Amino acid sequence: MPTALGVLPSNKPLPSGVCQIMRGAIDGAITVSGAGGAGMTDGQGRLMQIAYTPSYACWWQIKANVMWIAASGSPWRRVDYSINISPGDANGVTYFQIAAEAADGMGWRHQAGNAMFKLNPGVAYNVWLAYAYSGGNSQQYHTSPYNFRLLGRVLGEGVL
Amino acid sequence: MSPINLDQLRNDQIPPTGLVQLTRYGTTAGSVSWNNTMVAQPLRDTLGNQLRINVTPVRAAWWVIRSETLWSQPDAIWSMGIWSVRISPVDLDGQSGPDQAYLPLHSAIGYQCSVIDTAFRLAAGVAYTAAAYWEGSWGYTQQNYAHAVWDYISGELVGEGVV
Repeated sequence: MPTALGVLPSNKPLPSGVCQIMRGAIDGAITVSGAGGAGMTDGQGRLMQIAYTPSYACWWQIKANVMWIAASGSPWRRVDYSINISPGDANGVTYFQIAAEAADGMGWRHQAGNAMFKLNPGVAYNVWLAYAYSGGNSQQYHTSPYNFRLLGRVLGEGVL
Repeated sequence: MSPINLDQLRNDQIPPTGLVQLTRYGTTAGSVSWNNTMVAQPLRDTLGNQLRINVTPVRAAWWVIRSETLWSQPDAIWSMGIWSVRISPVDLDGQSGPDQAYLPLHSAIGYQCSVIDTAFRLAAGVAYTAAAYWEGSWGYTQQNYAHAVWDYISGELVGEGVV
């Protein structure tokens, strides 16, 4: 349940409200295929990752917008990405996986993903995006700052 | 950029988190056609209503924005509609969008919903506008099925970590 304002400690911030956003860096595409697990980068080698060390127990709401295209000649194939957290959250959750489908000829398609992790206070957490799975052939994700986004939002009320 | 302890927040201002804005199209349903000859411009419903929100934050804040729109294409060939969220003026990080969504469409697949999530870091005392925009396509005709239940833009001010 949310906590009354007068009960909140004055030497800590309000429990809700920290935000983070990371965008892709350059107008380009990165090819993936085969076994998943590799981190997704911004096109300049930086992992698409945000970090937070909460002073309260809290929820960390994550949103991602990722854009896929199939390789030339590819039939319809699954392509997934994941929203990962390290260390695992207070419930032992380590990732959410977001599935899409792509085929040659259909062009780029955005796939929005959401995740929610419950955090323990005083722990340094990282959330990052990873290529998770391909049903075959190869696919690409786009790294433009206009097309590739990772957002975090801390929601502390109801966890204290 | 760290959050501010509760006893250091100004008591003559509203709490830094929670002001919400929401704009939906009107309730007169209808398709609005777009194509690759049209320059970038605000999306609108059949009566000209736009998906647009405004805010003037009393302190620096994140503006967390989500927009959803519904699309189809009458042509039996794959093509691409591109729409976005833009803000004006540019934010404290020099960002104004277009934060885009690409949506492949084909008459055989019918209607498709498309989502944009984004955030901008706003300066105190500046009047900002965010709106959903048509950005372009790869050809043929893309149709935004405009109605309040499917098409909206929402924003939330989140001040912690910015002040």
